[in-house]
Amino acid sequence: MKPQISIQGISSAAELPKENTPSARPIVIEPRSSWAPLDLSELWEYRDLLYFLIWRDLKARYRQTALGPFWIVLQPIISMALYTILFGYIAKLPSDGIPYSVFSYVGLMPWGFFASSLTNGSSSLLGSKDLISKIYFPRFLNPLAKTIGSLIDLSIEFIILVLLLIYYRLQPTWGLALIPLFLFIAATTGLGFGMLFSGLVVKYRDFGNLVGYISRTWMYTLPIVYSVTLIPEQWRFIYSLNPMFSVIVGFRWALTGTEPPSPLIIALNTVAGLLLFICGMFVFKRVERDIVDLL
Amino acid sequence: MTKPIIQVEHLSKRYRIGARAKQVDSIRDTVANSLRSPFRYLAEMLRPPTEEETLWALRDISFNVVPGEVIGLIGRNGAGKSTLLKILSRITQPAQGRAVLHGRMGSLLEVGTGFHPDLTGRENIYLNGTILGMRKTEIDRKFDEIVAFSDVSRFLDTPVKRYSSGMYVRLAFAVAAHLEPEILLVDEVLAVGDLAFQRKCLGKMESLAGEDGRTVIFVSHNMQSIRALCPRSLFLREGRLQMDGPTSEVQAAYYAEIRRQEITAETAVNDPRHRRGSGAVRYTSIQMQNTQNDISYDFMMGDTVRFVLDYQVFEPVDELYCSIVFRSGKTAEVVTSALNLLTKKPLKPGYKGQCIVEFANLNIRPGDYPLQFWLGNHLAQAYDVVEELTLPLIVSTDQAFEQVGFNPSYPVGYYNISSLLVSNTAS
Repeated sequence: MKPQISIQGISSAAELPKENTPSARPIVIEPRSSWAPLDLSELWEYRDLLYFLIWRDLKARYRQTALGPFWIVLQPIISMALYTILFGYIAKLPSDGIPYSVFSYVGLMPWGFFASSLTNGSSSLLGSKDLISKIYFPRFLNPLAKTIGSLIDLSIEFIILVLLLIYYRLQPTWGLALIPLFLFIAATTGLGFGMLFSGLVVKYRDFGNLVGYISRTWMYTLPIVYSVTLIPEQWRFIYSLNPMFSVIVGFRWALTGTEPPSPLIIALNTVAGLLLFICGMFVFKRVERDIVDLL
Repeated sequence: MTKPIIQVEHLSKRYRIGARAKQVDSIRDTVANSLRSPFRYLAEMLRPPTEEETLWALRDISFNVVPGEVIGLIGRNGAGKSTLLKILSRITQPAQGRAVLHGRMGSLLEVGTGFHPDLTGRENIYLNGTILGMRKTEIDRKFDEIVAFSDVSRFLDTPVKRYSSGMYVRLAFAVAAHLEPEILLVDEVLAVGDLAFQRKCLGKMESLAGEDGRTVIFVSHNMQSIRALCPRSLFLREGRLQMDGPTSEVQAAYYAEIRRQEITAETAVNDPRHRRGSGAVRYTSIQMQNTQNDISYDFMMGDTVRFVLDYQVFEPVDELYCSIVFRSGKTAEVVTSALNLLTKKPLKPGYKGQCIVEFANLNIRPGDYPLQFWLGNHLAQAYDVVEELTLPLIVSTDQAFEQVGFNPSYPVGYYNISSLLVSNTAS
């Protein structure tokens, strides 16, 4: 399934509009026999569409809002304030030796990115049903564009974090270099796990709610608003097998210098995230084939 | 022999009707079922459907199209025309067989796909263009042309949700029309927009088909457009390719099929495109006759056409009017209509009646005139509307075309009002 939308194809069609030579790379339409993998070359050919989808989401999201992009930073700041009062001042939870506000903010930042990847993955088919029932394009572009969009949100949240770090005089560590890896784990885990549900969400809208509950519960299985030290020693290894574990702990370590996750855990989490992504992609590809007839 | 640009080999498509029926379950059942076996649905999707839960929308379709050919695709509703176009545009996958396209494909299946109401016209041109498969540089180059064609240049920086529906459609069509694909699929989008815009679209279609030598597959109920644009046609019937050949022969076969269908009170009542109205009174039979009382569909200019209409009352009504509308075979605009009062007296359910309406001395120019039959009251509330379910009224002439002044490719009017050259002198 290779669409004839390469740069060469277009420029030659533009120069010679009357030329109808059948091109070298035909589009073959046939029932997909196997679990087709992700077609990277096709994604590359559609990169302009990816760009405009990201751009559309960003523009449309904050149009007709008075605060505009300030909403991006408002959400984590409000959560941070809430958790700081609840868990930091009232419950007096330990925060690994850094101020609780920074502690929770650094955890909430990658969490927010993960949670949106999860939602994007699960609603990837349902959310674009108007589009996919009318026109062909690589279906994976839609969740991908949304996830890249949340990456842009994340970078705006970073600005607030930098101010916090300066205020509390906290020093980042060399772990900063691993931030891309942590984001990669968060994106693959979120998209992959979400895409496992992409077909079910179309068929039974209930699963949309289920994914929401999973996401909210998942947050409390991670050391975001509490410290790892609260987990009994003998359970800590199993606890850290959660693919998002090294993302949360790693972010905090990289930016504020708390205890780092062990390299073994990072490796295990990376593999788990990749496996989830591959499984999710297979389910997505398989479901995508017949989904138009169900929408 | 030129190498084909579209090769379709034994293409079949089935729909799982069993799975569809389950979708109307109550929410509680659905939740209970899905909790009991959350992945049963996935398992169901993985196994091929059994024969009784299968509806074959397309069965063993094969044909080739050579570059530059313009093909008409005709058939009744549900014959599989749209399914075939959906497979060719890769929206849905076939169950069996394959199709090979040697060139870039564009479809005008649904104009305005992906338009975002909050974005401006300018932004939507880029968004929609890339969704259709254009590159950004290509849109940059065609931008002015698209804007000029759509005629919305004053509102380019207005969000499209503030556009009138006409402006919206014009902009959408303009983007789609400038995709310049090698293969173009068109599905009756010409029925959108106002009349002037429909003419513009038809012109664009003709230039795409003719001058640019593009390959086009054109789906329409409108036989006159198909005859004007497509030398060759495919006739689909119940998912099978019934006939593939010169449009005139294929059209005759298609008309023969329509002729076989009789209009009853139930015909197409679930298809709002062809049958509407409250149902208080329904037509139970519609016949076209000539003055010798024979059923006929072909008339000469100047003939008398007689409609024999049977109707039945299902709910009490206070009065009854009947109307017959001749539409244009090209643009679907109303060419002429006749409204007749049938009765001012209340009618009770069960009442059956017949009315006969004659149009004497048909003074309209040769062409196909799709027909609409209407029953209603003086407030224009419709009891029954039968739209293009019968054959169109076909008018021909034995006079030379020059004399009648009719060229089917150009909208030169519908009425034949005789004129006389009174003088022509040097001045």
